[in-house]
Amino acid sequence: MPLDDQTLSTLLRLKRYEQPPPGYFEDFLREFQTRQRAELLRRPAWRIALDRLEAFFNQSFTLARFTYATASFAVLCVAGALTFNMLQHPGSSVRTSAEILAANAAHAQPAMQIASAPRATTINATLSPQIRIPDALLDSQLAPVADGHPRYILDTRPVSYEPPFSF
Amino acid sequence: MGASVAFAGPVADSLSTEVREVFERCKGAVVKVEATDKTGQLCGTGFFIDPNGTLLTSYSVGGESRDFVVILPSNAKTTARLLIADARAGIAMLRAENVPSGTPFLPMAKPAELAVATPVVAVAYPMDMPLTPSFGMIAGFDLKYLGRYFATTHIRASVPVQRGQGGAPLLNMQGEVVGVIISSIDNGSACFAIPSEAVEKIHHDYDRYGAVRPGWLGVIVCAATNSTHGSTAEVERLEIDAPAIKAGLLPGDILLSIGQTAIKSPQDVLNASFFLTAGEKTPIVVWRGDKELPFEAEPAERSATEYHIPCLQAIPTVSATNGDITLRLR
Repeated sequence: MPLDDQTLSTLLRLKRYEQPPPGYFEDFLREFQTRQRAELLRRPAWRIALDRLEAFFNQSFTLARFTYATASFAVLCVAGALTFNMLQHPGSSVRTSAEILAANAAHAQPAMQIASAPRATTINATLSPQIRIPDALLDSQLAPVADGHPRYILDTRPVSYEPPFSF
Repeated sequence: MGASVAFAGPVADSLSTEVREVFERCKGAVVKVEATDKTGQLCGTGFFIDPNGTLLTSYSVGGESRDFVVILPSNAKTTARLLIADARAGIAMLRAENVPSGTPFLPMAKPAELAVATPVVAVAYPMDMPLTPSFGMIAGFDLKYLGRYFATTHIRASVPVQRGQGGAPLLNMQGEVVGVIISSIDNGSACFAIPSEAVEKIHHDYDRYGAVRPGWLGVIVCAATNSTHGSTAEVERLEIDAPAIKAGLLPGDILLSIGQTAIKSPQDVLNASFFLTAGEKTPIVVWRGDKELPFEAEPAERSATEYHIPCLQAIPTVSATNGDITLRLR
């Protein structure tokens, strides 16, 4: 329903005398900060840490970013070099009994590692016939082992197989 | 109810006593095997099969490993070397050095005595725990699992197993080895074991030739539409210059037996062919036309060709038309 001028002016006069409750303006800032802190606490810790990290790097803009990138690159290089070295030199080919026993003694506290699939990829060259299993059919057992601890072996499928029905 | 309780008590006690006896009798022959392969250190179980320090374990433990260390039940350690390994059978044979004289070993059971529901005991080292017995029974004899055919029939035992038990002996209640545990089934609630007769075949090959000598005859088998004299294993074709064609077999022959194995289906051929040894003559009986014919073939050594795991698309499928298994798979 449209208001006429008289009604509108009456309402404005009434509104003029409306006031917030006592202490409203005094408490406004405190209440706002309380709500802000509560909101912050609901965020996950990792997010807060990330925000602080971003803020830190944003403060010292160019130099800090360059340092960060350089450090990351250095870590990647070291990890790559170590991995390459391990793959190229898995161990000496000839070891004495004492060395073998000593090496195994170093692993006296084995961790658990699932040996979940047939490990065989290629049978030793001395075996007949030479059998090669497609790598695609091998799964998690070939995953690298953490810290060189032993894998406790029990396959989830027999390694045995045969091309069907020819002999 | 009261009767069943009264029945269960003595039976359980008797069973417990028997399992304990088997465990006590055999535990001196079961060892922990540590080794290194290209992915790092590994650990499994093995057991002595003769007084000379020959021990068996699974292929996954010993087949492609080096730097073997055998930990005896007395916690004494000794080194070992790989004698022979066979991925088809899933086992490896090692020779431990400086084994104390008098170290017990486990005899092999006669395979003919095995049947479904035969009670069995596994004695093994699960993970880093001490030697542990597990009790169960023979649940079946299987030639394939999850779409893959085995090279020979495997024992399926309802024995709970854990990691580290690969290569452990599966024993009957006389303490004889009926199989070697090579894999778990369904998160370790049961296991597959390679039967003792397959182990004996590998052992025989090693003793006689120093290597595994799988034989090859050059026969491709398919499923006949109708059973003839109880067999549906039909010779589809023969490889040129192969031992089978030299022995006189022809396409269309129905295989009735190979060696000591009776053939009833093409699947039986897999099992029989596992036991062929190159250079050792093998009797083969076929049905041709209207009569039974005996032949003798001398298997050749399998060529070093690549054998691929039958992929899922190559699983034999049941034909919708006649219910027979379709076997023309390569």
